[in-house]
Amino acid sequence: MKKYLLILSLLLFSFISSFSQNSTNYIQYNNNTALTFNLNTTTLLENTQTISDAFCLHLESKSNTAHIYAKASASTNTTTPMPVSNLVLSYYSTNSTNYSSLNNGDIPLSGTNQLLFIQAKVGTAFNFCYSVKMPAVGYTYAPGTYTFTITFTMSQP
Amino acid sequence: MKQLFIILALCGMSASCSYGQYGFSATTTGTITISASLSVTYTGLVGTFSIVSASDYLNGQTTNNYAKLEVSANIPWVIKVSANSALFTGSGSASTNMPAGIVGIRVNGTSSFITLTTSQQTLATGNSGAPSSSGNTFNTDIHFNPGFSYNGGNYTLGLVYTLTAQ
Repeated sequence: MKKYLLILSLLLFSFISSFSQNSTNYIQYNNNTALTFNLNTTTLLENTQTISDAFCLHLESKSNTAHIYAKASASTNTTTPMPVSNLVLSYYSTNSTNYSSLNNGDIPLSGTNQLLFIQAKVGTAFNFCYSVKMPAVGYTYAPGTYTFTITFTMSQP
Repeated sequence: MKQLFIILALCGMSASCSYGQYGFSATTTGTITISASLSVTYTGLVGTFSIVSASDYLNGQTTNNYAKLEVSANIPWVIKVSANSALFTGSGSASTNMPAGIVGIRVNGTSSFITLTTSQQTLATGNSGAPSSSGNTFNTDIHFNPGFSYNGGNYTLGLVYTLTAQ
């Protein structure tokens, strides 16, 4: 009986750990600069705004190769909803040397996951840092505050 | 034996879970604040005006397209015009009492001139948009009608264009 309890405990532990972040498999968002765009002149409306080195994704993937994705959603409580494609991620830097498929062009956000990069399994944490750009919004959007949420997902296929 | 099957089944389930796709995530939020923003660009198309002929004094002188105004705004706008002083500033033998009211301004293509005063009067209105949007770029005409009451000379008057939200 004791033997079965031990096996069941091990299985349960295995099951739980498979779906949780742990000390060697995780992704963490670290803010360098607040993601705040304040457009209060026509010049700012007419030109691309950039928050350089806005944030870093701090991640470790010891168990398996990690695919990192980004997607976004926007609040729609304004008279002129702004699509999240107005926001663009732009790769800035990394201290990793074990990555591949790094998308180092401008990545307009969308509501579906887009691959940012693939990190090989290594028992060390790395940073991947990004700038956030907003191409000129022009005069289409009514004055107000527009809120957006970016979700970064690390999957281990 | 049955217990062994159960354990094997549980092991099989665990293995399939362990090799399934794991998803870890992190989120952040941000804001974009857009303030009401307006700007206008003035381009003078004519430098100075000379009133010299008898007809100019009798009927006044009209110069079409004397200036171009380009509005950029993310809200509906109104542009008003006024004189910066009640009287012209003269030089030399010029009279000192020529009023701003001898000047009229209108949007090119319209019929009525606005007689200038130091009070702001509506010249044009429009909707949000860049200068390329319909109605956000227009020319203005100017009309002088000093009559015969004032000395010859050089006269100067400042015009003020004020752009605000409707």
